[in-house]
Amino acid sequence: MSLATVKNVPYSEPADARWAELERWTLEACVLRAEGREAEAVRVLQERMPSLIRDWSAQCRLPKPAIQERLRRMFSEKQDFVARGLAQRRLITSELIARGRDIAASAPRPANVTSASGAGASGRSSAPVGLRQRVPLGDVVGMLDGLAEAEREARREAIWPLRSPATFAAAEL
Amino acid sequence: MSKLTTIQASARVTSSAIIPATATDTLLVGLDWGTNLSSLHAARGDSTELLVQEQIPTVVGYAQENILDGVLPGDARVLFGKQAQKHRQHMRLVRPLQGGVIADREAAKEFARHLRTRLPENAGEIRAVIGMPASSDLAARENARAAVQGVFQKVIFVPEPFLAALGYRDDDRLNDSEYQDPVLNSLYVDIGAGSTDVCIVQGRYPTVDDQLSAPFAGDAVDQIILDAAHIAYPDAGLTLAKVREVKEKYSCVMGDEGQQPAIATVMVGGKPMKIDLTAQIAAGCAALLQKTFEMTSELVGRADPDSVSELLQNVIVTGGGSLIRGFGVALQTKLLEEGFENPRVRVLGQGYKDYVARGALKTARQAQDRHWQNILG
Repeated sequence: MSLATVKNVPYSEPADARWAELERWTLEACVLRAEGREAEAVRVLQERMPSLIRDWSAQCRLPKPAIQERLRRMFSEKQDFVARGLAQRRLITSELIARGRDIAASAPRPANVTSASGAGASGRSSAPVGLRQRVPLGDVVGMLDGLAEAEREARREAIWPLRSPATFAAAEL
Repeated sequence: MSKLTTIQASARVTSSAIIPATATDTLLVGLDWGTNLSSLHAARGDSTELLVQEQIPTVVGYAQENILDGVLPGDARVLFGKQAQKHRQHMRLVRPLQGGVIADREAAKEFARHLRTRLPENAGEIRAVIGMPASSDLAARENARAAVQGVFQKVIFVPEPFLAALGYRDDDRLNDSEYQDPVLNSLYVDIGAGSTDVCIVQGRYPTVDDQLSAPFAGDAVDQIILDAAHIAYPDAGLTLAKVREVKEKYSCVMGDEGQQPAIATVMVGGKPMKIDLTAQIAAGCAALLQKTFEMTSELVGRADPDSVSELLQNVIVTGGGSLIRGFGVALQTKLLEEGFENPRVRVLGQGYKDYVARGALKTARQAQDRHWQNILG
């Protein structure tokens, strides 16, 4: 699902175009983090955000402390928003999986060359089940725990895609 | 479902000592379920002695209809591995896997049941760690789980690069100052039949960002050779099986001076005819080299710049594609020509077939009860 269709949280501040873009990319970075796509999240934060922040800061004509405070509050709100959506999603999908209502997997689909993160237009239903965090080679138990969590997340994704309107609606509950 | 016979044990692992997390009457299995070739290792939970170490071509042969009695051994309706290949003229050969994942569920189940016959009869509970391609998704795992239902009681699926790294590492020599740990900062290129996987291993298991996978490998090379051969020799009646046979004998990326002529004998109108496939094989292998180079370059570009010099010194090529003559040297030369600094490419050769299975068995020994997935039925 395109992020453009995701409903943004309303803010009291005047929402000029730069601010709206800032909100959108902050939300995107939070969602990427939640998906375990850390490298992409870092790319958004390092490559997209600085120029947006610079432009908005120049346009908004607010004093520096107010700029910093507004940005800090927006980052915090977006993080909380995604965290709430994820918590609801985890709760409900766990219940569904426990009741054995897991969605049956379809036939395997070969994919073109892709980053193993599964990013792309095809969505994440065919995303590889792999580690999202760093585990030292000597820690076989940690590796297996990480893979088990990756498989649980893949099941959650099959039932309730993280990037679905439902996640963002759940965040507003 | 058999009664749980395992004990919960806390596995404390050091470089040289492993405390098994499983009971003594449990059989542990490490399986590299490859598209072309499967490697099966098995040992008791409390023993390091390998009870089974076998490589089996991943192929199922179904007897043709109306075949005469006595033609197939035991008048079998289904044969596996080398037996199926040996009697291919009387069988319909099916490869259960494509691109490292299950493509034919029934054949995969048959093959899994055959694997069970290679294990000790009174095995008790059987727990298997099974290698999966790094790019495999939930559906691929579900298919694999369904295929081994009734064969193993508990399973864990682990990406093959993890297992290859574990299997390649010599745990007993980790304290040896002379030993160069191959997984501290290496780039692995695994060229199988169905997919080419490239991953960075820097003392930790590769995350999804450290890996690339492409469905371009040995099978794709075979198809390139066959397509080109059909153009050059339209009446030769070449098949993929024949092309594969010739490729395995003559595959090479050494350039004109190092290439041995690839002459295949085919039957045309009942008469043997010799055809030269040298150019076609060279083209197929060159395409694989180019794809491998592109994937390697992309992944090197993602690595921490501070680690790149050492990483380029440890490019390790494994899988069936590594058996192409001159592949390692050619990849190294290409990297050098494209401006990478002082690359060094090593080829694991024939030993590659056992690394994943060996790593799978190591993993099985350290897995805790919570990691094992019950297979009902």
